[in-house]
Amino acid sequence: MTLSSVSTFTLGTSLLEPVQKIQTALSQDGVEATTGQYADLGLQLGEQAGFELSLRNQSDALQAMTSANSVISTNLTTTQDALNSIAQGAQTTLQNLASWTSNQTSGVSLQSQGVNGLQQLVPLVNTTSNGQYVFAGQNVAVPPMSDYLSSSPGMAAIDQAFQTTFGISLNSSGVSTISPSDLQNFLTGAFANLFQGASWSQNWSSASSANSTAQVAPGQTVETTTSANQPGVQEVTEAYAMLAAFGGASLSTAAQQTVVTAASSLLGQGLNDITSMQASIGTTQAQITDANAMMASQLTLMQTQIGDLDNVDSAQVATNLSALSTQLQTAYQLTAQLQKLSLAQYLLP
Amino acid sequence: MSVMNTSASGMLADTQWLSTISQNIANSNTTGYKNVETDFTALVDEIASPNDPGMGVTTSMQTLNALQGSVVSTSTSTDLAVQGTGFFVVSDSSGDIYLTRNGSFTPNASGDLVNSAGYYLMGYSVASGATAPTNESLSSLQKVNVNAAGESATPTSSGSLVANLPSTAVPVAAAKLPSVNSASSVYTDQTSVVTYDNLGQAHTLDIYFTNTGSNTWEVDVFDHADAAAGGSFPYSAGPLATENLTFSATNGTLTSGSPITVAIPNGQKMSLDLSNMTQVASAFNVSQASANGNPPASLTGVTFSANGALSYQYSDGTSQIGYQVPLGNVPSPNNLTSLDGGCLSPNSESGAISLGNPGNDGLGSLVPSALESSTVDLATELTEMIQAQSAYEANSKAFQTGANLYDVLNQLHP
Amino acid sequence: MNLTDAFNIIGSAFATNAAQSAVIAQNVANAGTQGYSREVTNLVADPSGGVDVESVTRVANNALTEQMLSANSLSSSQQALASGLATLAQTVSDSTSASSTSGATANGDSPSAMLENLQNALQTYEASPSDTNLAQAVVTAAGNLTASLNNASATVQQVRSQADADISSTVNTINSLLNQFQSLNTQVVSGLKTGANVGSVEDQRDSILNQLSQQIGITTVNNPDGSMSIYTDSGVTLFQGNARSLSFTPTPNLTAGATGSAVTVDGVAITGANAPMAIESGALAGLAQLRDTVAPEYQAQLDQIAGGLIQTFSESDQSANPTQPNLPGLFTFPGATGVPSLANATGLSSVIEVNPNVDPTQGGNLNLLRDGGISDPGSPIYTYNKTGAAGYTGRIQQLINGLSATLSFDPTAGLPASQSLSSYANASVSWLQGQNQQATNQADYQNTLASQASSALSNATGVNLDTELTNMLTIENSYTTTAKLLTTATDMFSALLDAV
Repeated sequence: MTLSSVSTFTLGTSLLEPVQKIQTALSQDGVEATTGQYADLGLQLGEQAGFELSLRNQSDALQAMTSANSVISTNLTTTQDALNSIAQGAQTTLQNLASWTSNQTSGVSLQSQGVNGLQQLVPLVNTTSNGQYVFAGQNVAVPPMSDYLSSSPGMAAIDQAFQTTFGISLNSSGVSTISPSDLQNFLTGAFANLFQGASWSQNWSSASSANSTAQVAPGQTVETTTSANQPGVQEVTEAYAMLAAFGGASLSTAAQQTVVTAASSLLGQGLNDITSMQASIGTTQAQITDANAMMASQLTLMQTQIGDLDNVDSAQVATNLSALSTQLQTAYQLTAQLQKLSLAQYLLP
Repeated sequence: MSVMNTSASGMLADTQWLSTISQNIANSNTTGYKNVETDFTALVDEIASPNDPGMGVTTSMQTLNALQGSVVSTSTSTDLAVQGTGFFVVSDSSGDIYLTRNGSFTPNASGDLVNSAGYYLMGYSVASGATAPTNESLSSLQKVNVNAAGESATPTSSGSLVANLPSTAVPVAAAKLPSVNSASSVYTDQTSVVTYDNLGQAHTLDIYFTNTGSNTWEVDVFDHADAAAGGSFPYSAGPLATENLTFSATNGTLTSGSPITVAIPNGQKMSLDLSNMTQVASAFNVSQASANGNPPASLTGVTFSANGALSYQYSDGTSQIGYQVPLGNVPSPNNLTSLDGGCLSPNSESGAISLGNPGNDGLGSLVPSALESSTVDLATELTEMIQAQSAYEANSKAFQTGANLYDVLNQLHP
Repeated sequence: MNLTDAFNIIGSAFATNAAQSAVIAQNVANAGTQGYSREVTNLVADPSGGVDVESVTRVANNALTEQMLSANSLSSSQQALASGLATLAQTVSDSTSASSTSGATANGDSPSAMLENLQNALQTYEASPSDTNLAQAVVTAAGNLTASLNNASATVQQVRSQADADISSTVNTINSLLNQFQSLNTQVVSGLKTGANVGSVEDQRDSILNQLSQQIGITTVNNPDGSMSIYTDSGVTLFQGNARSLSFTPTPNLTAGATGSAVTVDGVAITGANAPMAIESGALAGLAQLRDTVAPEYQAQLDQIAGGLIQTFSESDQSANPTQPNLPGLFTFPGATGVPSLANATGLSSVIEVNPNVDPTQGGNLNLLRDGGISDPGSPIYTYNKTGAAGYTGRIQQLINGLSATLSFDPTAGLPASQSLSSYANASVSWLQGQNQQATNQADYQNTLASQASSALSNATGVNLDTELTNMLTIENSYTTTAKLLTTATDMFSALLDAV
C-alpha cells in the first residue's frame, strides 16, 4: 500500500484501534494468567470443543466407575471375609468330628456340632454390605438363608423325607434299628436331594442363582454378588443339618459312624468348593484392582490431554502480558506525541 | 478675424471633448457602457482662400460599440455577458426591438427577464421539444420568461441497460419461463428500471433474464404494477416485451436481441438498448440501468449555457431547455443610435439587425453569471482631460494673441 | 488592458482568496468528521485576465468507497452471525466460561455434559441396583438432561425469533435509508445542474451508503448526471430512479421446524434457501443465515439428541413372542403414542421430559428404572426383571450400553449419521463451537479489513490539517500581495489625479 497522504482523522484515530485491541488482549491475558486456562475456552477450541468435552466426560465416567468399583470391592471383601469364617467353622467342625471318631464321645456332641455350625453359618451367609445381602445373588434385598429352627421349612422337610423313607419319625426309638447301609442310602439319596435344586431354594435359600453384574471398566463386566446356591454353601449346610438332625437321634453306633463319615466327607468337599468360590471372587477382585489401575493411568493421560487443550502456557502468557503493557505504553506515548505534531503548533504565536 | 474664429472653434471643440470625457468618467462603472471617442476634423475655406491656413476645427463623437469590456463574474445566475461582437436582443414595453450589451437581467414580477435599464430579454421559446426557428426572424422572438414552465413531465422514450449475465447459470425449462407468466415461473436474474408515461406517472419495469440454454437468454419486461400480491408471478397482464438474446460463445458479447421495444402503459414506446450486455462466468452485476423522462416536478431555478440555452431546473434534479437566446449584430455597430440605458437602436447607417446563436455565428458566446464592465479607462480619460485643458489653454492663448493683435491695430489708428 | 482592469483583476483575486479560505475553513472544521471528503477550489483565469472560482469539487474515490462498503457489509454480516452464535454457544458453556450460571456439573450444563452425567449415575446405580437413592440420582440426572435440552431448544427459538425481529427492524432501517437516499440523490443531481456546491449533500449521501452497507451488501453505480443507483451484492435493484421497497412479514414466534418468511425486493426474494438472488453480506444476510441455516441446524441436532434418547431408553415387548411395539421409557414427551423415528424428530428437544411413571414426586416408582415397565407400570409385557430381584442389573446395563451403541441419525442435521448418542452430543458441541469460532474470527478479520478500508478512504479523501494550513499560508501570501497591488494602483491613480 502506498500512502501519499494521511488524513488527520486517520492519524488521530490510527492508534485508537490498536489500543482497544491491546486492552482487550490484556484483560484476556489477565484472566488466563490467574486461571491458567483460556479466557473463552469454547471460542478457543472451536471444532475441538467436542473432543475436549468427550475427554472430560470420559474422565468423569472413569472416575464414576472407579468410585462404583470401590463399592463393589467392599462387597467382595466382605464376601471373602464371610467365606473365610464359613470355611473356618467347617474346618473346626471337621476336626471335632475327627476327634469324635477316636474318642467315641456321645451323640449329643454331634448334634451340638451341627446346631452350632448352622447357627454360625446362617448369619455369615446373611452378611450384608452397603445394604445388600452379598450371598443373595440378584435377590439382594432378601436375606438368603432363614434361621435354623426346629420349625423351619428345612428341618420340616428333613423330617418329612425321613418319615417317607423309613416310615417312622426321626424322634422315635425305632431309629436305632436302621442299618448303616440303609442310612447311607437315605443320606446320599433323598436327604442329599433336599439340598439341591428346587428343594434347596424352597427350603433353605431365598437367594437367586443368577448374580448381579456390573461394569468395572469400559467393556469389562464382572459378577458383583455371590449366590448361596453355590455347592460350597449347600454342602456345608447339608453337613451341619445332617449332624443337627441325626446327632440327637438314637441311632446305632455304626449308623452314627455313617453319619459322621458322611458329614466329614461333605464338609471336606464343601471346604474345597468354598475355596474355589473364594478363588473366583479373588479373581474378580484382582480384575477390579487391575481395572482401577488401568483407569487411573487412563485418567492421568486424559487429564494431560485436557490440560493440553485447556491450559495456557503460563510463561507465554506472562511474556505476552509484559509485551502488551509495553505496547500499550508506547501507543499512549505515540498518541500524545502525534497530538503535538501539528503545523498549527508552530504557526500560532 | 480668422485667427480669433479659429481659436474660438478650437475652444468649442475642446469643451465638447471635455464633456465627452466627463461622460466617459461618469459611466466608468456602467455595465455594458462603451466609451465615446471624440474625433477632430480641420475646417478649411476652400472657396475664398484655398491656400489660407484654415478656418478652425469641428468635432464629432463616436461610440465605440464594438469594443469588448472586461467580463466580471457575479453571483446572479441570470446576469449575462457577451464575449465577442454580438449584442443582446431586447425590447421595450411597446415591443420595439433594440440591441444592448447591458446583460444585468433579473426576473420582474411576472417572471420576464428585465435588465437594469428596463429592457426585456428576447429569445425563442423551445419548450416542449420545439426547435428554434431556422430563419432567425425578429418576429418570432418573444420575451424570455422564467416562470413560464410550471409542472413538467417528460415521457420515457429510450433507456439503456448494461449488465453481465452469469454464463454458468442453469437453463430453465420452456414451460417455466417468465414469458409463460404462471405462478411457477422461474427466472435467473431480475432487475428493474423506472420509466414515466405521458403524464409523468412512474412505472417500474421488472426485467427478467432467464437462461434458456447455452449462450441464449430470454428477456421479459413486465409492469411491476401488474405483479401478484408479494410482487411476483403471475402478473395480471402478460409481458410488455419478450425477446431472445444470443451471446457470442467466443467473447461473451451480445450478438442479437438488442434493442428491445417496450410499450410503456399510457406512454411512449421505449427503445431499451441492451447492446453492451455481456455473458461471462461472473455473477449478475448491473453496471448501468437508466431511462430518460421525468415525473412532474416544480421549478427550482434557471440556468444559462454558453450557447444561449435557458434551462429550467426541476425539483427532481432533471432539467429542460425552455428558451434559446440569440445574439444580434449590425454591419456597422459604431453607427448605432445610442439611447438611454445603453440601449442601441439600428438606423440606416448601422444597417439592419441580423440574429444568430451564441457560439456559432461569429457573434461570440454568452457568459452566464457575469457582467461586461464599462470600457472606460480612467487613466486614459484623465490624460485626455489634461490634454483638452492644455489645448483649451493654447487656444485661449491664440485667441488672446489675436485680440492683442487687434488692440495693437486699434492703437495704430489715431 | 488598463489600470481599471487592474482593479477588476484585483477584485477577482480577493473574491477568489475569500472563496478558497472558506473552503479551507470548511475542510479544517471537518477534519475530525468521519466520512467527510475534503473539498478543493478549482480556479480558472477569466477572459479579462482575472481569476474565477470555476467550481468547488469534492475529492472522491469510488474504488476505495466501494471497497469500504463491501468490507462494511461483510463485517456486519459476520458480526450478526457471531453474536447469535455466541448466544447459542452459551447452551454448551462449560465450567471455564464465565457465562455458566447453573454450575450443574464441572463440565457445564450442555446436553452433552448432562448426558454423561446420566451415564455416570447409571454406572453408579448399576453397582448398587437396590439403592433407591442412586435410582433417584439417575432420575435427577435425566431431569437435568431434559431441562438442558429444553433450555437449549428454547435458546435456539429465542435466537431465531430475535433474528426474525432484527430482520424486521433492519428492513425498516433499509427502507428509511433508501428514502433518505432518494431525497439526497435528487439534491445532488439538481445541485450539479445548477452549479451549486453539493459537497455536503454528497457527504450525506455517502454516509447513507455507509449505513446501508452495514445493513445489506450493496454495490453502487455512478450515473453521468451525478445520480447513483444501488444494487444488492446479488444484483437486485434497490435504488434506480426511485427507491425500491423491501418487504418482510415478521413471524413473532418461530417454533422448531417453522421457517420464517423471506425478505423480498419488488417480489424478488433476497434471503432464504430458495432465493434466486440471495444477498451475501450485510447484517441482513448474517441474520438470515442465523435464522434460516445455523440455528435450525443446531435445533435439528438437539432434536436428534432428544430423539436418540427416547429411542435408546425405549422399552420393547419382553414376552416370549413379542407382538407389542416399542414404547418410550425413561424419556418421553407429552402425548407420546410410540417411539418416533430419528428422521421424524423435529421439535422433540423442546418437549422431551422424564416419564412421570418413574418420578416419585409425580407418584412414580423409581424401581421401574431397574425393572423396566416405565411405559406401562404393572404390565408384564414391558417388565424386564421377571423375578423382581433387587439386584437385577440387566436392564441398567442395557441402557448403559445403549448410550454408547451406534445409532443412525438423520444426516440432514449436519453431523455424521452413524455414531453413538454421546459422541453425537459431543460432535454437536464441536460443530457449534466451530461455527462460533469461525464466525468470531471472520468478524474480527472483516472488522479489521473494514477499518483498513475506512482508513484508506480517509487518507485518500479526508483532510490533512498540515496540508490545509500550508494552503492557507499560500492564500495568505497571495492576499498580502494583492493588497499591496491594490495600494500601488491606488497610489498611481492618486498621482494621476494630483497631476490634473
